[in-house]
Amino acid sequence: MVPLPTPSQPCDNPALAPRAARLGLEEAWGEGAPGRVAATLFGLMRAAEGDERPVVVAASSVWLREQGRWFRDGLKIAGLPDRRLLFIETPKDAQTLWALEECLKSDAVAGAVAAADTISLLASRRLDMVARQAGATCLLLRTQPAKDISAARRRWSIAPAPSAPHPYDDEAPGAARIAVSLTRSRGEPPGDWILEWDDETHRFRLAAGLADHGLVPDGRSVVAA
Amino acid sequence: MALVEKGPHGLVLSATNRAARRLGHAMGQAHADAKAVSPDLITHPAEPDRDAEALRLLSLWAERYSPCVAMDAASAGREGLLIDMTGGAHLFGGEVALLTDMAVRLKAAGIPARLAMADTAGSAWALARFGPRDTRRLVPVGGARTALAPLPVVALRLDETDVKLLSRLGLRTIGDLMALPRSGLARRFRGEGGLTLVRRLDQALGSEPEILEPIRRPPVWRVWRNVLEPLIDVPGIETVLNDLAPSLAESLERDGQGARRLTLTAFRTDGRATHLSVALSVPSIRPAHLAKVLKERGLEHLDLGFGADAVMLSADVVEPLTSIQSDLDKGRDGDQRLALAALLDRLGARLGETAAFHLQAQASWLPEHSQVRRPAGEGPPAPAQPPPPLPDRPLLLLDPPEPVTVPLASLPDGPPASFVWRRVTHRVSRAQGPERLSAEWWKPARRALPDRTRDYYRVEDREGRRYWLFREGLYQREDKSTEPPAPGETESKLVDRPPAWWMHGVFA
Repeated sequence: MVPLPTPSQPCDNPALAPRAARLGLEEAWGEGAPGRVAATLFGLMRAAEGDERPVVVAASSVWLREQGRWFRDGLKIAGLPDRRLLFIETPKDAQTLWALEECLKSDAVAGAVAAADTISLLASRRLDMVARQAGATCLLLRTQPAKDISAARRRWSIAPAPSAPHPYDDEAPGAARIAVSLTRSRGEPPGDWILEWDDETHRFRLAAGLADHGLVPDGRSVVAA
Repeated sequence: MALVEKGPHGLVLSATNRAARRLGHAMGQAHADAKAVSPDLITHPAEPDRDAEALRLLSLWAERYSPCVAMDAASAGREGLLIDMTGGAHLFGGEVALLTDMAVRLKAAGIPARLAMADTAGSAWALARFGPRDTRRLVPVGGARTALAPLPVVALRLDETDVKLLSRLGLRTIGDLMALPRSGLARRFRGEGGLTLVRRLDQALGSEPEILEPIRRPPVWRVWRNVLEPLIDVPGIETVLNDLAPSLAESLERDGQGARRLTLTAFRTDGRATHLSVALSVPSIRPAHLAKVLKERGLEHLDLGFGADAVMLSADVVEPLTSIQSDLDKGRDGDQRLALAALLDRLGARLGETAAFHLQAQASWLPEHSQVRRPAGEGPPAPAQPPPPLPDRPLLLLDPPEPVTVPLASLPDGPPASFVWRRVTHRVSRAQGPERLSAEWWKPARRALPDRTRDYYRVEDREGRRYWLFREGLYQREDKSTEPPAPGETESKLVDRPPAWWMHGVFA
């Protein structure tokens, strides 16, 4: 057990927060299958980066049938070896939450991305506490935009965005971009960011606002239309 | 009453009760003959499968006496159990007490049984079935010859033909056989018959060893406990389990082994046994963990019926503990591996052993066959050769692929300009492809493979959503298919089968 870190240090860019600033429970919502895929990758990166322990990906059978099954050849862009990705398929959301809590409590995982639709305030508080105690990051994927109260430290809304230009082929999609917006947080102002997947470092980086103009000074990018 | 089954020449009686035997009916009699003799004979069809199952359940129960219990169903109508009690009788207060205990328990459960105990399995078999009419027979050490001598030759587990031949020779009892010189005995019979006869005789007398084939591999590490008052609920079992786990862990630790698979068996008062098994991801000897994993598996799954009077905890599969202990020295790293193993055990116990898994590459060009699930926590996988670098693949794969309507493709064999998936129209702004994949026709297939070529495209719509689409079938070459001839026709005919579009996955 790691001593509880000081609660949620506000940071400049929560979307690319350092590990110490993203421990605990967070929630994300993505519209449709592409939004959920984007949120999964976002959560995987937040969970895996800066820790050597395995990462858990959990969902119910129903979710997997509707959204699609985890695909190894695609997930390997996250740069994690097979043994570091632990998948859990459960019969129902209730078991997903149970498995999630067990995983975080065990102190054996770096973080988790789990799809579950309903969670009570009490359950979310418990998840947040065990996650922070174990030094883990947990992203809960919701299928509906959440209106209810929860103990999640941040609430994200994630959507795919038109990709970066392909270096060699004008007709082809380039590096994947996602539009991330922080809709609720403790001690941080809400904001929008465009993140771009970097195939070499296996993580997201801030997308340049316009081609080759570098980062926008305040760290937030302008949405490229 | 009698049970009937199908014989080569119509129905025959396969089992009779005492009343039927008194009327002169016996096994093997034709059903029509029996009905002619006693028209009011009640007959029911025999269910050999259920008989065998009942015998199996009884044999599991009999494991309370010895880990080595064999079912003997070779000769119809003389089925039974063979229990190897070598060196074990004193645990039950001696041989007489053991037989009494067994008889009392079986009688209480309503199972009629004839018991015998002897130096060899062969002579016990003979005495139980053909011995003097007493429910318990015990042959003292070395007394097999005298005990067997008056029994008929059938008691040697011989074929019917051999028995017939022996009776023609005037050899009716085992005593007659024992009086003859052995070499002559073998020569009297043609072929295998003589050898079988001599071997059976030797086995009964103990001059040739006989190996029992136990129904389950006897566990070497097992602990168990009798309870005075039958246990009928989960808390009772839990208490016993908490007592048993430390003593099992102790005996495992003494031998330097850790349990990989645990079984908790409850022996019921009605002559059945019920058990619960659970697999562990790494060898473990922590009593608290062993008990916890079994509890997570759900003690309520044990069917206790009217109560269980003995509980056994066994480690069926074990592995040396050394690998774990060297890891412990590494401090946090070793702790974490133990923590992960404990986590996987709990997940496996609650959600099923296949719920937690890793994905592993499998050599196949078809995306849906290119990965397999491997249960989490097992040893390192066989190192596969690195797969060829592939173009981008989606993170989620729809399996099976979902149909997509394409109103317009920019070229007949190009990417679509727009498509409808799940009732939403997407306008394609950028696309990459095709990547042409087809099934491995050169490999013998275990499942049906798609017969048409697939052209995969990575497309992005105006909102930036990226999909993996494929067109099944090539224009001009694969847009016709042969249909098997309809009934009444001889020619198979060509039908139009235009290429179709499918959604196969979603990118980030």
